[in-house]
Amino acid sequence: MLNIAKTVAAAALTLMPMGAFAEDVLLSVTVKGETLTFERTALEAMPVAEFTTTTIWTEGEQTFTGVTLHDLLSELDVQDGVIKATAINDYAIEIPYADITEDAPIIAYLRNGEEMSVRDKGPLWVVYPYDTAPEFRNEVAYSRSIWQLDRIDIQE
Amino acid sequence: MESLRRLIGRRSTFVSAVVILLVVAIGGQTIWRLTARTWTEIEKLAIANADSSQWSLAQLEVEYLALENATLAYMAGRTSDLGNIRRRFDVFFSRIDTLSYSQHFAGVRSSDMIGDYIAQNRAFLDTYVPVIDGSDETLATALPGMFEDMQELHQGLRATSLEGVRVLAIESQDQRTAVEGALRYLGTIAIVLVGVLFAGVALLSLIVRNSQRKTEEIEQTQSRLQAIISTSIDAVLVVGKSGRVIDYNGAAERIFGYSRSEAIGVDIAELIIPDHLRELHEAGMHRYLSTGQKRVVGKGLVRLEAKHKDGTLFPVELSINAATSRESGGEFFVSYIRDISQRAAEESELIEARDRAVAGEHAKAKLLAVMSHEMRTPLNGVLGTLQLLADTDLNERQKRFVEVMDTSGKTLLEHVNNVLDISRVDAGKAELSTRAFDPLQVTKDIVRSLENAAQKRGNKLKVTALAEIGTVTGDEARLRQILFNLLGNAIKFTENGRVSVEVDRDPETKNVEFRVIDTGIGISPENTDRIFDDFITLDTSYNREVEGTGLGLGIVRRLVRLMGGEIGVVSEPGDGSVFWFNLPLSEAADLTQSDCDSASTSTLHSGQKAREILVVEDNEINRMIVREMLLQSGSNVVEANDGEEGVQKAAQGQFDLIFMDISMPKLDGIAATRMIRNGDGPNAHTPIVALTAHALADDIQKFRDAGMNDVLTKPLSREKLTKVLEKTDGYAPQEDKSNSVVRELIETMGAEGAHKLRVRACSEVKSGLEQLQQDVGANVELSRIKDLAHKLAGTAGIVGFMDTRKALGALETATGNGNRSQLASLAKIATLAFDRETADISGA
Repeated sequence: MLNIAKTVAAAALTLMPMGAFAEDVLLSVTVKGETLTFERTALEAMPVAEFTTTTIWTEGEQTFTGVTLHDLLSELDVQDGVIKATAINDYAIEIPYADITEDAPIIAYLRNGEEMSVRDKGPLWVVYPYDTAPEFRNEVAYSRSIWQLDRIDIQE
Repeated sequence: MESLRRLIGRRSTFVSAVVILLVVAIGGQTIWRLTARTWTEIEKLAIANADSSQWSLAQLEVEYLALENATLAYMAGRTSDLGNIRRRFDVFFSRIDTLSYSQHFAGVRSSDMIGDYIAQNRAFLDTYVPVIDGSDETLATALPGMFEDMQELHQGLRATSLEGVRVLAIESQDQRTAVEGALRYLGTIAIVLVGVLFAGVALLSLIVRNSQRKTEEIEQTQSRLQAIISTSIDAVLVVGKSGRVIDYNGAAERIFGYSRSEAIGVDIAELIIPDHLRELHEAGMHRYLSTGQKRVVGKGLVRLEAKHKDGTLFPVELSINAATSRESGGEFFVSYIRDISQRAAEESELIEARDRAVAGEHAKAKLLAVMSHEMRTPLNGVLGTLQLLADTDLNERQKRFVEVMDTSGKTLLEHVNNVLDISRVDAGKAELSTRAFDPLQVTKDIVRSLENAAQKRGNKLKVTALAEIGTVTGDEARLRQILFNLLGNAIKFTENGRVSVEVDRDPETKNVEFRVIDTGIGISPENTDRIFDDFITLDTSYNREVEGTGLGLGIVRRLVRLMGGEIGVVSEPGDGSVFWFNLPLSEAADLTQSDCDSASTSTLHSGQKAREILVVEDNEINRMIVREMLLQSGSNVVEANDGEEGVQKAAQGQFDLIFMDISMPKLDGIAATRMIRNGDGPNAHTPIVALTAHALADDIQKFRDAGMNDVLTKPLSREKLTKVLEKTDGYAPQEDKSNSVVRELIETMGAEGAHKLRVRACSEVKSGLEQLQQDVGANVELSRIKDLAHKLAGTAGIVGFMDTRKALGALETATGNGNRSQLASLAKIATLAFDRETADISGA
């Protein structure tokens, strides 16, 4: 499984010279001491998840597009443990693997079809479809909704 | 009553069901509403935000300080990297952005101070975004100015943080209170609902228990009813509208012979109704079902006939009532039927027994009457012959024997007479005649006839009328008998005293009251009650002196009652007694015109007048016999002891007939007759009949020559006496043929024709009789008198003047014998009879 991750990472790396300029790394993931980095293209290459919901931090309905955490972890062959996510300002949360479902949360890279700047809580934002179920409207889900995400550490 | 209670019960059940439903509905709705509200509150609680909000607020300051640090580091020359400043700016920007737009901060934002502060920050950010996004040189140049501006933001930062904490704390406090209130409310409602639920359960169980009890009651009633029906002695049949048997009890099986299974479902008409009543039954059923008109239904006990299985008919008592039931589809009939054949048999047996007893009683009385009558005739013969024997030459001893026999015979005769009277009344043979008479006159007559007896005992007799009595209608003969008896008793039990009779009329009841008052020995109070009973004789020592059967007063009481009156006695022993009795004797119509037309002047009493008869007889027993016989034939009797007294009495009053003994002391019968006939007294023409034992042809001629009309030979018999009476005055009290003749006449000719004929016959006979009296007085040829009498007798007979006809018949016979001396009196008798009988016509 790590192989796949490596392949993806490698692919990402191999793709780099192909772009007009070197892409920014949006997310770095540490699995068992190994750190992988993901640029926007790499994330976009993975299965796309999209939903529309309101959030407690924004006004009106927002459409979020991204990759599900479940899909990302599957890509990295992670099936248990605790996912520790940290933001640019070092805000950090932990999500036990058991709490992750196939649909939620997602690591959104588009909001209302647009990339998110740091000022808009981007470039990556862990979000839940808050409107679909009450279990997404509690403090745990809110605290886990980390914005300005830049790194993930998978802990055993 | 029961149905009313049931109705109320049903209604209350219905009402309580509605109430329960209502309570449940309201409760349910309340719970729903409250639950929804609580749910919302709880959900709000679930969407917790306070923590992250406060953290976000605090983080604002942290992000600011991070930006300030990065700026200071660059300005102090500790680093030449502007990237860190840019990132920190962006993060701070993002934080302000969140504060500006997050709905969690809506409450916080509403604080003016925070609003102003957000605006201040926004202005700062907007100013410096181009600088941050610009080139490094620009940024580096602008950095000191930006730092200055940043210092201004720093001052409001902590105040905003604190204000935010305060607002959020209030918000969460409010929310908690709301949740608490909702929960408390919910709890209360839950308790109330549990209470209501319990109450509902209790009510429900009450209703269930009630209905259970009712069901039990109904079952009990039903079983009781079933028991009543099945143990009923009477047959109980329940019949449907169609006439088919629905129910049939054990008694019905016994009475009608059909078993229950045989009877159920069969038409009652075929089952128990006799053929002759079937049509009636069907008509009745039809009438009732089509019109609702009831004849037998609901009318209580009806007596009918019913048919047994074996076809025999028997009497039953039946009671039917109609009822309705929802189950059996409308009306049905409940009938109770009682077999009364036993009772009917007993009834008829009883009636038969009673009839037999009554018939037996009648037969007994009749036997007694016949026996005593048959005994009396030979007894009269014995007594008469005994008298003849006494007149022969007897020695002293033989005379004593004859006297004893006389006394005994007399007593026996009295007994027989009394028994005869009683048996007549008791046998219902006694009929009351209704003729007009004067009660006062009757009383006076009786007193006169008893004067001798009273004198013998030294008693004085007196009659007093206390009121105007006048003429009354009633049975004169019976009154005589009563008075004779009471007066006889009074005289018997009084010595040297007074016996008086008072006649009075009760002003209210109009009854005529008689009081027989004596100064005799009296009756003790304990005996006054039973003195009227049969065979009662008081004071045995006295009885030896005064012989009696003890039947006298019994007869008197019977007669008084027979006539509708009352009798009683008041007495003081030693002072005397008062026997009183009253009789409802109605006042007779006054004296009426008795002629053929209203112009006539002749007047007579309406109705029959009793004969006045003088009996001249020296022998007491013979006198008594004649008196008794005459009294019973309805005559008034005056007695005379010898010829001399006879002539005297004949001079005092008018008599219809005189019986004259031949051999008497002082003046014999022949001499007395001559004196009467030759005198100018009222009885010169009165028929005189000789009483004699010597009935030889020569003697008879001698009597006739003396002026006697007939001869009665001793011993006397009722038959002989009646014959003489009929012959002399044509009087036949037992029979009244005239009525039947008149009736026949009316039937033949019609009432008016009969009347006209009678009026014509009346004037014809009237003038004929006048002619006849003239002829008799004028010594006209006997054959002419005979023809006239014959013709008149025929006319009188046709129109029903039977007494007149008889008298004329006697006259006709007398002319045949050539006895002229008799003709005058017979003609007079005929005229009197005619006057009496024509009185009826004027009334007709």
